[in-house]
Amino acid sequence: MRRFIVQRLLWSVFVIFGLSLMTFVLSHMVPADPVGALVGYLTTDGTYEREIHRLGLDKPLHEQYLIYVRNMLHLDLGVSIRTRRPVMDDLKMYFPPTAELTITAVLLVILIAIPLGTLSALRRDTFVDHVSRFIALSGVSMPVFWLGVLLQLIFYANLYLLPIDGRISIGIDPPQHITGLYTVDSLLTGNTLAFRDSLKHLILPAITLAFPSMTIITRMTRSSVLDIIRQPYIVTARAKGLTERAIVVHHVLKNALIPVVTLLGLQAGRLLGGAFLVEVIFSWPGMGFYAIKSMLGMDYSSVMGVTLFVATIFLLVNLVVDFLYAFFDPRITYESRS
Amino acid sequence: MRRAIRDFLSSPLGVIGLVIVLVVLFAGIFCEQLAPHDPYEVDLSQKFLPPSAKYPLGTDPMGRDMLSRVLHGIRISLTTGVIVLVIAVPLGIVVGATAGYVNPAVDNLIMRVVDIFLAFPAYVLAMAVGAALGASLMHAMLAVATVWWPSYARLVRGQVLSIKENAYVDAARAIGAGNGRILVRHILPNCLSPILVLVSMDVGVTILATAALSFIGLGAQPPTPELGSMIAQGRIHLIDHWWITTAPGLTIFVTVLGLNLLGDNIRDFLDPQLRGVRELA
Repeated sequence: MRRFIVQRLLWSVFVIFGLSLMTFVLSHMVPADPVGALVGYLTTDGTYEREIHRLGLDKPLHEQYLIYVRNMLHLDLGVSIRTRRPVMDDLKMYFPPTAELTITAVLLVILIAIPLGTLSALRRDTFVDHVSRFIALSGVSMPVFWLGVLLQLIFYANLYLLPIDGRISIGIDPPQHITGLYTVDSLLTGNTLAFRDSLKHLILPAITLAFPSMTIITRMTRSSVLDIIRQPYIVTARAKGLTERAIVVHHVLKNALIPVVTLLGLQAGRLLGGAFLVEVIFSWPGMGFYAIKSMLGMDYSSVMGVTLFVATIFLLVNLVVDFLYAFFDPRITYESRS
Repeated sequence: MRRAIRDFLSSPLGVIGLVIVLVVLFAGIFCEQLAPHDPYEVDLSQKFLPPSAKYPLGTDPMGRDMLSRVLHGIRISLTTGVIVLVIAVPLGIVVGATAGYVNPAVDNLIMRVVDIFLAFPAYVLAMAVGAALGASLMHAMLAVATVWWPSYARLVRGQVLSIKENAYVDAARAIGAGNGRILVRHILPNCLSPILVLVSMDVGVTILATAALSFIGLGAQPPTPELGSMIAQGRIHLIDHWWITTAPGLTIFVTVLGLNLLGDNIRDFLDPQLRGVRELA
């Protein structure tokens, strides 16, 4: 087990360097001229050249990359041209809203998809199978960017039930900063007004983000449960006279959830990418909102910073999932990984 | 053959998918003949009209006919899906075949690069590449292709590694066939079925990804009748004019759903063993 963990950690370090190389190459592919945007295109007094020199852009590429990596190791991702603040500071500010949104979406997926998938496996017949397959495929076919707009149309414009965008209503003070997650902070400080309001703001974006993954996880849980209930040890459990409930909870789900956990890790990538779109639709002031403003504003240091950051989170999530997987399923060999 | 067709048609979802795809293909190919108006024709006296007999899907903020724009949007979306895969699949095949065929050192090197591409969340990398290239539909397609080729490389590499152990490959080499001939004539034809399965599952997904880039402003630019950018423009007028976002949104959804239903069925049909595998992605 220890060897497995060490191997995976080393591999992750390698991947992070690979990611940094890619973002570096991308940022140097850019046809636009960020320095020109910074100091103006028409300088004749050498400001432009001085700025190029100050930023180290006249050094050979490999030297520039080494500097980039050294800065990265010091958690320095450069300065955003648009906000004129260090990208790392911007990320610290924009990360909590994204975390709140994605964590809520993951909870929705787990709390809805797994029971639903289990239930539909236990009550299976061809009709339910067709319906479940259809729903799973519609989930992956649904453009997230339209689903969000559609929900706004229904729940804001027609039913007046939920706010259209933002994290909290104008006129309500955000809760005291503890974790940066408004719902958690307002609960911790006992601020019911802010809690109810921020929760209302969270519902639509979280559902939009969770929906595609929800349909996939439901289907996966269903087929995984179907696989397990055919196993001989379930027959044994039943023969011992265990209640149906005990069989499902202790014997079926415990085994059926192993592949589901891995899939959840893969879905993290979908959720992080989806969050970018959802944040734009709901003006949710998170990393995606920041990244897309930077992309449209040709602010490459922040685009590359966010990309690297998000990819690193994705990597860490999958690392944790790998460990969980090995932990749940002792049959997995830790020695080698093809 | 007749039996194969009957098998294929026995799945109701597959048939629904096939029908949707045929209708959408028809609409995309004949959009010029089907569209009642010019999708670019601005008529400010006709703006924001709700659906009516003259404008079945209403008009947009510039008074353009939504039905005509959606029909042309279908053509654009189908084209983006095809172009992305026309770039990504051959690239993936060449890289994957090289990795699987040449030698373990090359294989190791190539696959580590592939792993790094796959370590990014797909949409995030596509957006970053799209932003670096600059906003245009062609760049958006290139960006999506950049993200999609690695999964083909991985697939083909795995196939080549196992197929090249077959006795008939040794036999071909014994009679003096060169590496190129062995790859092209003996190995790659046997990889076709899984590649086809992956392609059929991917058309819809790449259409969605390209439309998403257009939605955030990194793809097709107005006034191009691209479905994602039409939704983006309709958002400002969401509350009073629901049809401007609903028509293109529903169109993408139905198009992609049809392609996915059909793809799912093709997978079951060509390779029953793969059932469930691609759902993971």
